Amino acid sequence: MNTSIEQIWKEGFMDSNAMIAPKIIDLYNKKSKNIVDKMETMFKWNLIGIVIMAFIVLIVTSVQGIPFLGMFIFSLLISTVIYGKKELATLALLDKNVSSYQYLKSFDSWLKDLMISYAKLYSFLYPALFLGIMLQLRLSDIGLEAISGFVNAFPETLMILATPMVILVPVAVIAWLLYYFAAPIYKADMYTLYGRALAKLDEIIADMEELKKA
Amino acid sequence: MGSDFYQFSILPYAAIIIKICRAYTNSQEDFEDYYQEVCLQIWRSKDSFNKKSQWSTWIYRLSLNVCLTYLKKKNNNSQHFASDSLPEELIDDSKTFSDEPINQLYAAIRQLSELDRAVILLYLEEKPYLEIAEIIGSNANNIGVRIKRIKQRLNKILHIETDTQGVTK
Repeated sequence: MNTSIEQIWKEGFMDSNAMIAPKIIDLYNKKSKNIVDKMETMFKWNLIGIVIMAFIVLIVTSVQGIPFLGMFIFSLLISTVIYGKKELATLALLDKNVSSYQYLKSFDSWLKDLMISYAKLYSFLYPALFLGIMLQLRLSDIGLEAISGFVNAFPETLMILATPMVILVPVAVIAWLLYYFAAPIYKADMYTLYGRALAKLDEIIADMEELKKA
Repeated sequence: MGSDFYQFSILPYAAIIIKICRAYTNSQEDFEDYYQEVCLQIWRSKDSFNKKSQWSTWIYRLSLNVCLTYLKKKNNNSQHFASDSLPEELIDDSKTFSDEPINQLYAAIRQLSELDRAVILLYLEEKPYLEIAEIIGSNANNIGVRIKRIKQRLNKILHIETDTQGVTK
């Protein structure tokens, strides 16, 4: 080829056919494929799902005669929603009217902060839900009967808070496992859904930083 | 989207969006998706246009930001642009698909990193280094060096002969 890329570029767009804009069809109702909008939609649906679940739990537990457990779980879930809504509102502050570097950096840091805070939230939410259910079970007729049966069978058993140690220890271990693994599970979920896009984002930012300091 | 807004505020600048979207997509279907997404985001973000820069500069900036954060479909069986997806060494033989040099140039641009595509597009649009740096968010001093490197790479891919200064023979 004997022409320069500048010439190819100029001549390439002289043909008016190269500049025909695609037809815009029902754009207003088109779903956005932008990662920022996708995340926003995903988090919104997540929050709606939690609200629905909170009400289902409240109704089911009330019908089952365990309204206190229902209210406890309901308040935990609703606090998660309030927290999530607050976090989501900060996404609207992302400004597209800045340089590509600033835009990608602000989105990246919003995303990382969100992942950290959600991971923390879930590390407390899951064990709290589990312990709430266990406490209700302990105070229920079935729980009281089971424990008195256990104590009768093993009168020497060590008791803490009127509960055999052999029951408390596994409960504590499970609660701790839920605390420990909630964050990695949440992160793994995020990377499964958006791993490719997140890796691309990191790559572009790294390239931009290199260009800035070069 | 108000059709007036599209007609008067986007369509006159469609060339900018088309040029950018083509550099980030391999197929007509993807290209149309990207184009629509950019238009959608321009419409959604129009209130944040602060008039510090020109509307066209803002469109360049926003189009690049959208293309850089667009989630591509995983499976794509749609028709590719002429000469796309050819291995580097075969691009010169792409005449069997299309003999239009602009298609070959686009195919070469798509082999660059995401950032390099943005830089070279702005350069080919004759934006001054300072403006390129401002849109990208970099130092103007580094842009020149990067452009030189990108051009060398494109020339190599396209088999364009240049002298030691990088000027086409």
